[in-house]
Amino acid sequence: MKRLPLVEQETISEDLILLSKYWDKQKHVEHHNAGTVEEAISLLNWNAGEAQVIAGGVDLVHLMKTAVRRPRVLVNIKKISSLAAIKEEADELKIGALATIHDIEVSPIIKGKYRLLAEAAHSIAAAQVRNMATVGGNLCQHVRCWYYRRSQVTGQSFFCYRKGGEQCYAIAGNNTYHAIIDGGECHAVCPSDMAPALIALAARVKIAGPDGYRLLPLDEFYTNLGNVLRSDEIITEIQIPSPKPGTKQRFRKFRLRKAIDFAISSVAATITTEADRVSDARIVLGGIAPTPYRAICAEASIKGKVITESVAEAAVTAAVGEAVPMSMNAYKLPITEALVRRAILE
Amino acid sequence: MDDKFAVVGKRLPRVDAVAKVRGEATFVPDIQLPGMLYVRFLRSPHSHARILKINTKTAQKLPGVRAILTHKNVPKIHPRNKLEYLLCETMHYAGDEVAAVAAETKEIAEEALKLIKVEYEVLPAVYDAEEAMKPDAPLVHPEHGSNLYHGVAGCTPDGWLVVDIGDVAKGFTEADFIIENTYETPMQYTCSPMPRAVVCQWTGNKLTCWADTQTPQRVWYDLARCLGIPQSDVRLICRCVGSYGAKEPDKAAVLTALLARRTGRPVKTEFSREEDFIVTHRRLDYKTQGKMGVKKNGTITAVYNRVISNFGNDSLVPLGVLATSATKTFIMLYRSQNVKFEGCSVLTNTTQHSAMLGFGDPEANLCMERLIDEAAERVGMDPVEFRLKNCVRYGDKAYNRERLLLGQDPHWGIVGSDIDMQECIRRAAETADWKNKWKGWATPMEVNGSRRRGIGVSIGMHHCLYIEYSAVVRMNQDGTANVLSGAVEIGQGCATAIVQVVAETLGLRYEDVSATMADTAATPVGFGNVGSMGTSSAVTAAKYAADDARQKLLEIAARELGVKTADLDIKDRMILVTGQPEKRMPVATACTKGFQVIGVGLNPHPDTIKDEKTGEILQHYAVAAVVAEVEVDTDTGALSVLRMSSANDCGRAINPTNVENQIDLGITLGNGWIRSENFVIDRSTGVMLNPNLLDYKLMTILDVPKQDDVKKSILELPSAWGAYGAKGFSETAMVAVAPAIANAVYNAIGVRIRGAHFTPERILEALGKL
Repeated sequence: MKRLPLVEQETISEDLILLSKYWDKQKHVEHHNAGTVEEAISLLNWNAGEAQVIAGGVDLVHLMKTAVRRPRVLVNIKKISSLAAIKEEADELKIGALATIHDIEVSPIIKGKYRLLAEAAHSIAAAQVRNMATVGGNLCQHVRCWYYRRSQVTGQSFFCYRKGGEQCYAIAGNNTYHAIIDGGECHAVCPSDMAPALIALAARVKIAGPDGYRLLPLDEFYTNLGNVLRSDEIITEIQIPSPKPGTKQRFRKFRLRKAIDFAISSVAATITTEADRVSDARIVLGGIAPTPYRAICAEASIKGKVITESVAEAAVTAAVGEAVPMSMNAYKLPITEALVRRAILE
Repeated sequence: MDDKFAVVGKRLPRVDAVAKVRGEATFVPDIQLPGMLYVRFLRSPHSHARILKINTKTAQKLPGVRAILTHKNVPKIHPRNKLEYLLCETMHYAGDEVAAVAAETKEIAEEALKLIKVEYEVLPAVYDAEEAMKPDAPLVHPEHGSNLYHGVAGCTPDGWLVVDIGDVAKGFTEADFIIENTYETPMQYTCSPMPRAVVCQWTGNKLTCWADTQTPQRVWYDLARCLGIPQSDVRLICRCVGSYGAKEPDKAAVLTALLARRTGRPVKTEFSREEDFIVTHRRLDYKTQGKMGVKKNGTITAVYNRVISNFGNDSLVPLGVLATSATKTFIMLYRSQNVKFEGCSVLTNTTQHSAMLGFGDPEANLCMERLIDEAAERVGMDPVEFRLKNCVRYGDKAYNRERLLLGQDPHWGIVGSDIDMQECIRRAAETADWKNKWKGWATPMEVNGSRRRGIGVSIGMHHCLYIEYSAVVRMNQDGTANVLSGAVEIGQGCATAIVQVVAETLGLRYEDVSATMADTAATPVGFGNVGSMGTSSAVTAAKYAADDARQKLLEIAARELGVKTADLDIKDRMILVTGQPEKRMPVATACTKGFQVIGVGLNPHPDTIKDEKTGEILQHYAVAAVVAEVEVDTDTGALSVLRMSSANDCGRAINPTNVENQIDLGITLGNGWIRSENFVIDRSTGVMLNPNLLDYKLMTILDVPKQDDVKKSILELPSAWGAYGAKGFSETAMVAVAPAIANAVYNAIGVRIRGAHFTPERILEALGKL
């Protein structure tokens, strides 16, 4: 028996097929409020890969507006009030991931013993942003590379290496604000100001995931294309050991404007001296590499020494020893050198 | 300040201040009409491409989509004498309009864009002006025949605007020193506080358009011509906030009107900030080869400037900017018998250029004032003295931009006695304590480790156009008045100035007068607020209208009181008879008795404004002098501007606070232009890389000198044409800012930066640290 087709093939036009696919697609982002860390992890896990954590939303909302990121699900963790605390416990400062940059900027504990953090916080963006932005979000923010960020809405985006494409457009293009160290495949720099400051203070991040918590030194958190967080993990807390007595903390950030600017280069340093000699030092550079860059050679070069101008000069040379500027960002080198010198000497 | 005035010259709060602060002021995006549709544009990803196929069928079927326009279904018309059609088959820059979608919501319109299928043939593109001049460069508009724009009568067939006075060759042979260098100036984004917006609504065959434009007459005319309807059927209502030159929604207004007509619904177009960056017109950038001959005594024997500028893909004011530079800064700012200018503007596949605050004079001045500084140094004269000796002054020959563009002799009239550049220089130098701070050429004021402080001076001039403009003053029965003006309140305080002048003239109080601005159904239609003409032209017309109304009121009172009009005066709402204090009549009574008193004002033709002493026709300029004090950190290249002194002439300060605000604007824009703003165009794709307010770095309040460190001097030398001697000056306030900083940087570091930017990068480069 000849079977009659249910629908005549010819009547379904190409554009109707396209439209039906379009109608099947979810139009609006699903928004969930997580009440607890466990709930947040479970929501992220359930929507593996398609969900995004939102707290202050400062970075994410802009990425979504320009269609650079298109999460299907948003998991709001802002309601987990226990994550917003700043407290000092037994020689350790604990900052909840939801503490805002403003909280850090004005916290009396931080302004006293962890001045470096307050200075870094104060240097971030502008008051309105600091009120909204959380420290967790600051650590996890996306790079500011203008090729990566170029909006799809006006049809002029770049499918770059970071998005799964083949090339980094900054290499042949305008790389004024890109990396001078460790460029690799993507030359965008880690834009966080909190990260170098926290690393200089030997901070650790507490990460929650489906299997519970893990602690990681912030040094090991970043990778060249982002960080080690899995799609179902969130930062819950940052732990900072109390600086040893006699520790000098310095934060120097260079930018074009005095506000609303990311670092062209920044230096966060903690230098501990005992009997005039440097017993311990951490020197971390920001804005010049895909991750916060620990200038280990510079640290080593001053350890055990009395700080003099020539010692500082040797450290400066060591700090940027690995730098290979790109076609348009050689200017970052003398700036970084000056910042390191000042952080050590001033 | 003059005590003879009751309202003029007073620091009164702006008429629009309270509504704006309280959020009650309505801007175009605030307009909501029943059944309104929203427009989104599909934009070209390529900087030069031809559309081979475009399919909108799928998008059309998306529920909520009401109309889609492409080059196939819009009339082939140019909105002005432009190079591009409303919508073209060829895309001339990355961001060019491919299609316009009107839908029930913005989101639906945006979704529909994704469903439009376009097939492009990508064409070779060129972004740099000098690249585009090469013989083998791709042509941006092949039908134009060349990349050198040559569409005006006044330029040579191959696109050069030329002004040649005296004999420069002879002048250079007479010189003791010849200074020759190439200077560059950067592009700049206008960054109006509000991106462009238009709303269109048809009632029958009549169109109402709300637009945030500063040039109502042009937009009104364009709408009628492009839509093929009489101007009487178009009502244009201007709402605007900030413009800085670029607010002319040429294409957007016509396309919005077409979409409204096609759908029978009101339609709103509102640009995002990003679109505003990509599509809105930018400031022209200059590369100037400057050459100057000077004698040992500081006399300038010859000046020659050759400018190459990047036209972009189109312009609303082709060669107008260049012609302004040619006829003012390059020719008139410094006196010399022998002056030559040659300039061209080169078509490229970048966004179009247009007017921006200063319109050619900041660009020319940043070249000229660096050249002058080098000349003064060569001669060994103090830069202030050198400028005092050579600067423009009353009685100098004047040159007219329009005449140059039309191919006529650009010499027209003279410079009036309303400018006194020398006094401006003296005031700026005095308030900056130049005498004590200037330590000599390339000698910093102060050195503190790597930080060096320097001081620099610059002068500048710009036109403040006086043209025919009209206004109406309508008296109400209660003795209050309404002014109808074709001018637009673009944030500079034009409406406030109009109200102050009309209240003063009519003997009313400030709060008795209300101004209605730029509504073609109600007010006269003004050319617009461009070329600093708000005060020079629009306020002047309001004064004429108020004079007319006043005369009519006095005639009524004279009849009623049985006296002559010559014996009458109006003070504080009361018509008084001189010498007879008992005889008086409230203005309100005269208004009631007159039933409908209307005053009409029309500015006399500019050529009738003549100098009293010489009988020569007067041209309209404002001048300024600026001294800047800077600090450069030679380790990092960081540049801070510590203090600025700005002396400006404005004829008469109708509202001194508004005058000072405009000086602040000039200082902020001038700082940002060379210190932080940068219009970054990707070299390989032509895409603008930083169309947002984070990456395009406008100066913040922390980056310009604090109010206490900005000394503002206002010179009040009455103009021959303006109301109470007032004239425009706002743009001039920017002209001298950037070069003063540039010259101060030289004083601090001892190295001349002749490029466009004064960023840390460029300063470190100049210091040989890269």
